[in-house]
Amino acid sequence: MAGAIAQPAVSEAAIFRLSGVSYQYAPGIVALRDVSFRIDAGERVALLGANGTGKSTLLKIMAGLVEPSGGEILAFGEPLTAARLRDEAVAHAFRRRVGIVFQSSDAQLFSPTVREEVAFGPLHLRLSPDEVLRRVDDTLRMLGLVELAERAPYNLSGGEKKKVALASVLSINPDVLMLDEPTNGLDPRTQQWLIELLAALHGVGKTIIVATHHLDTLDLIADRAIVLGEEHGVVAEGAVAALLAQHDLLLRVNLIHEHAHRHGSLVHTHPHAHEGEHEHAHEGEHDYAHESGQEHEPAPESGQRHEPDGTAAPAPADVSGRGRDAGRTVGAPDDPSRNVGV
Amino acid sequence: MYDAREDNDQVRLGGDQGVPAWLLEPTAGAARLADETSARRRRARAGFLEKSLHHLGEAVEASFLADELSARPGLLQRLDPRVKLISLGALLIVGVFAKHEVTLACLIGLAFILALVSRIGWRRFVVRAWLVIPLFTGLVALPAITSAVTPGHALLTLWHDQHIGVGPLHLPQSLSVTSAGLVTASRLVLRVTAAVSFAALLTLTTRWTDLLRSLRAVGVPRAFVFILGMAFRYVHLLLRLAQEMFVARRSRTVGPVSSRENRRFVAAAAGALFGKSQAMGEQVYLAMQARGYTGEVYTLAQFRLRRLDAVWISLTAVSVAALVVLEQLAGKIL
Repeated sequence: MAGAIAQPAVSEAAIFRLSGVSYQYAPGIVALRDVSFRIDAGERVALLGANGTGKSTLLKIMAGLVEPSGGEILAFGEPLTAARLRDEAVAHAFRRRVGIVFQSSDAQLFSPTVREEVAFGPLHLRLSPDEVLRRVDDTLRMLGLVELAERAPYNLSGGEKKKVALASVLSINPDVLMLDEPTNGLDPRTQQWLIELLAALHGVGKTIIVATHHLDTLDLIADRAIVLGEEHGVVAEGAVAALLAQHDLLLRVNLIHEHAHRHGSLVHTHPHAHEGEHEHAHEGEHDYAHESGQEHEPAPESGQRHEPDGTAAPAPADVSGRGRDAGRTVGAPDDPSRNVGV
Repeated sequence: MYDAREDNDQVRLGGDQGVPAWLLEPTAGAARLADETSARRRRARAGFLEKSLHHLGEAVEASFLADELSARPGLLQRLDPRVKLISLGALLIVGVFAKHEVTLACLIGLAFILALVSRIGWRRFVVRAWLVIPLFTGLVALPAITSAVTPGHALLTLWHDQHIGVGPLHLPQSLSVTSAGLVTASRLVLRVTAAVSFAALLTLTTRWTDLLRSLRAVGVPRAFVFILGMAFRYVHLLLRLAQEMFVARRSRTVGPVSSRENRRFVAAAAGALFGKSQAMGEQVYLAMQARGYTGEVYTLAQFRLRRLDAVWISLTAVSVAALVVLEQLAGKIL
């Protein structure tokens, strides 16, 4: 069986096929409910959802680290179960092809030095000593970590830890790379570095699966998204660009929220994503600021328009989703619950 | 400009109530900090636990210093850690079994020369190896210099034929410092100094990670070494977590806190840390599993013996043999 899992025609079959997968932490505490989807080889897929929707659990289930409470998973065309993974040959074949980068780098970096951390995967997947050393050296060089090779991981910065965590998985050379909230806590430069690295890996045929709630970088790291709702099930699936245009959906799954602020005598709400810079502009001359203290320059190309009487009117949507207000007023001008004249 | 106080009941932050008025008010009388603090000049004293955590943190930071020292281009730093562990261990054992001052003095002199050629700084070496531990050993050995513990020729009489005591407790009628007592105590202090010197040389010139790995050379099981390394790595993390919890608490505490409150906090913090370490342990296990761990530990074999190691091993063997001969000669002469 191990041979079968090790040698499928990757490009011809779904890498993962989930049918009715569910997971409960304890009776009554649901993490996932009836999740079904498929992921093909070479795809860039985002598991998109707000905090607590079960993204991390889903990744761990797909990585064969947690057994679902119900449903079925096929990985590389074969059932992925704890019983099968207890067979060392099957486990090794699977782990060589699927790598996961955890959200917490501290949990992932347990070795005394960076070099040993990067070597851990190849060593435990029983590659030859020469091959292990070659991979470690190449990976350290590729990610610019040579200077850190003999350092202890606990002595590194957050960005460096994330790079080492990635290196420790890349040295396995997995076909599928899973990343749990990879951009969390990274400075802009490291975030950009990561985005470029993922693009390069996708370019050489790797399948990238990312669990995230960040809309600002979504279209840079994924082409397709599977949206998990707060009921812990899949609520939508499709191309990233199309999903980002569905504001009602994003609002419903808590990925953007209604943002209340005031323009002159008007307090109104509209959808708002909290990632990246906060850029928001309106026609006309207003002197206003958000509670955060951010000043907003009026801009004629704004996505939002205000009527002379102070009410806000719907305008063509700005669907970039990169930290800008989504550009559509949720409440109609005549909806007193949304627009409050003061 | 927008003033949130004007419409606080309309701003919703997720709950069913607007921002309460008190949250929008500035702190009364906070224009000058001095006014606020002058009324209560009592300083909150750091609790023993906070101090302990601080010192533990310092100990952890000291390991970073050891990393820096071990990277200096000295003699011992150039040696293979396994060779260093075995050779310095051999010299340490000679020191533990040596009975004569001359042998012990030679060992201590050798350790000092090694510290100099290893560029760890003679002051640091003296403080680390010769001050604190031998000083405490001397205190412990103090009773041994007296006639009450070691009879012998009296060098200094402290009192003679006197009854000193409280209740049922009585000191000896006569007490003096004896020559035999001084020899015994000084041997103990020298022995401890020699042993600590070689242990300090080993830890100051070897990175922790290399030191742990070199334990394999003396037969410590691989899994044990691996777990020791992980424990060392996660102790850092948990210490930082604990320190952050204490700092967070201090940021919300003014003035002295009752010991009852402190106990409650310590209990809660211990519980929280236990929970965190357990969760971290589970995550680490999953991370290991994800990279192929199935119960067997494999590590990189990174050490390589060089000519210098062979020369050093030979020199150490000659030194140990010379010290053993010296010990025997000293036994015959003295």
